[in-house]
Amino acid sequence: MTDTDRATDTNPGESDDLDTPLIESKDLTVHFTRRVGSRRRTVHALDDLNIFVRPGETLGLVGESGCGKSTAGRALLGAIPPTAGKILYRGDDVTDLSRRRWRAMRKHVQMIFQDPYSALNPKRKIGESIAEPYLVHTNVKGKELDTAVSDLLEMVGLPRGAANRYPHAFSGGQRQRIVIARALALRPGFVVADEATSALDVSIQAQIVSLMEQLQEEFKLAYLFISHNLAVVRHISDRVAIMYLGNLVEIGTQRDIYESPIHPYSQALLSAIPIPDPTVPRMNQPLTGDLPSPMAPPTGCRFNTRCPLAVEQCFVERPPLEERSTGHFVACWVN
Amino acid sequence: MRQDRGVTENNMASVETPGRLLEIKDLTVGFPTRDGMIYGVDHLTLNVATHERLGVVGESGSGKSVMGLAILGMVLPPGRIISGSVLWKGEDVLDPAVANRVRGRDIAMVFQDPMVSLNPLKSVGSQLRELLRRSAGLKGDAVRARSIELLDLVGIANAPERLKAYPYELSGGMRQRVMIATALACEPELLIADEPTTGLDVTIQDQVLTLLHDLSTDLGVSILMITHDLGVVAQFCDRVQVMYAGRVIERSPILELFAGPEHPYTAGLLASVPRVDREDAPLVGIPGEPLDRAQLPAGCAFSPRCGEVSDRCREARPELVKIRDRQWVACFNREPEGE
Repeated sequence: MTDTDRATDTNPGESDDLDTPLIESKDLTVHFTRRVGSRRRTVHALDDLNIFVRPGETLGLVGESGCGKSTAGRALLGAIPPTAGKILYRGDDVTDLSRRRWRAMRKHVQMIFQDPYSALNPKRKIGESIAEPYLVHTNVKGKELDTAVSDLLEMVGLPRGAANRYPHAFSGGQRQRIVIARALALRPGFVVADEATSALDVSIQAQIVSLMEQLQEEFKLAYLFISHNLAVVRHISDRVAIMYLGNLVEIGTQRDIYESPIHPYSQALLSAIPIPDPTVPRMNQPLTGDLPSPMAPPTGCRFNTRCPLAVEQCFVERPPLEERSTGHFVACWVN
Repeated sequence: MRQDRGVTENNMASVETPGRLLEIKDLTVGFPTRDGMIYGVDHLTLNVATHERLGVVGESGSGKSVMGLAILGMVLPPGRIISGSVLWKGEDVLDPAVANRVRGRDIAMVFQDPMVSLNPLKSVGSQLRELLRRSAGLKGDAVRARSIELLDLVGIANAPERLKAYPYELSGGMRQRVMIATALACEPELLIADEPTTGLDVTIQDQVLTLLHDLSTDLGVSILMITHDLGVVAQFCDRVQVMYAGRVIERSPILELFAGPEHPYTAGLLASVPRVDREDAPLVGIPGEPLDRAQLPAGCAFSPRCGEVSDRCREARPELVKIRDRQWVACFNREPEGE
């Protein structure tokens, strides 16, 4: 274990001031250029995102397709260069780090993706995949490395001897465990989980969510849990942010968002989810219309094309995010 | 009411069990593989009554989609029907002649991904036109009128304009509405919906489910809803059938199933679903891995993951037995005493 410790000695987990954000975005904006025919169009993937994640907490990031939640996660990890805005890690500006320094950062920040089938190289034994972070970032090798890999496998609930098998020998849930083991190899403080449980059957999803909660407790991990599944997000998150078409529309504690959502989109989104209990009546006020294209987002509030409450101001000016109660922010002119 | 249909003689000849549209008896579908025969569905029984919304739930590999395909005679080789019958108003749909007549007319299907089921090279209008001419036997102006009527029915605004659109020009939700419109073209009595909202955003899923619900109420179409989502089942269906490893392990009216699941697998499934409407207890999940269909245990297929497993479960397969009025379960630990 000593070498694993050495690998992580730059990441003090225990002595954290829990109120200081671990990672923070300031007006983070990502625009892509896309060619449509002969024209170039700007895709507004993410506009002016301000979020932070404290050590050891889970921030859930939810929204429908194209809302920018995955872009936000990737930009926070330096995987997509932001068009504007800043990323702070423990208060330090890491927005314009060189590739080399980002590589060093990856000891502290990691990512888990949706598809455990494409995240593992099918031609490599899973032990090799899990060992890779050690080979890149540390001097651990030989027997020590084997032990470290076995420890990781055990940590995620797989047999210690599984290292010599290939990905095809594992089910989707087991592969996601392997991916988690690899992500946690260097004991990062912050993990972005992008739809990490979405491809799994519910009985397996529940196992993986429990595993992630247990590992969080054990290693004081902070998660940015990105998902379209609002029920899973409620279960795992301390705070929740709701996005719509590249904008953050509401953020607050899990209770703020689920018990007293304020933004009309948050309310519509929550009432749209079928509840697995036939005695709970359906809300039955479906939101009409489709998502507008992020290449031509509406001016003013981006939700104005579908909002049942929209007034004139909503079409003119984008509502700022305002604090309605401690830690509960909403961007809406009406509610 | 269905004067536009070509063949009526055989329909007249069919023996109609009152109130019972579809009846699957002891159906087994096998797929030969290197590891031996895999049974997609295994001695399956199912009944759909008129005006009923029946849910079939199960996780991946439970056989729920194979069942849907078998009903329409769409099991492709090397897969084959090994035993059993699928009766549509008393006629065996496994007979290709019957299947060809019934499929798309009496029984229609809506699939998960409309991008695959719609022809990408043809406009919405031309796909509907082809269908209405061939299957519904409409001609001339009636075709266009009916096309517009169908798009209106599924809530597509500005229908005459939309007929010119190609599938790629439509959003996912809109494509699914078009798919439903094509399914409704011949006024089917049963709609098989295989994960019709999986992959759609929740606000769009809500629209599509509301549409299907309204259609079943207004037009009296029975719906066989195949889904993995217990929320969809709870909010949409009247009755539900839970599948595991190709078999039905529990069948129950919706209120009873959610109030008191009988089979340990159903109970585990319900305990695995996080709730959006309340702060829930820790998620339990079901231990173990989903079934490897090539290596079915000798006894109950769920026995390797079951918390209540006994020796008997490992040796023999429990049959689906009636334990209460309208409630059936396949579990040795739930069988009524003395039987």
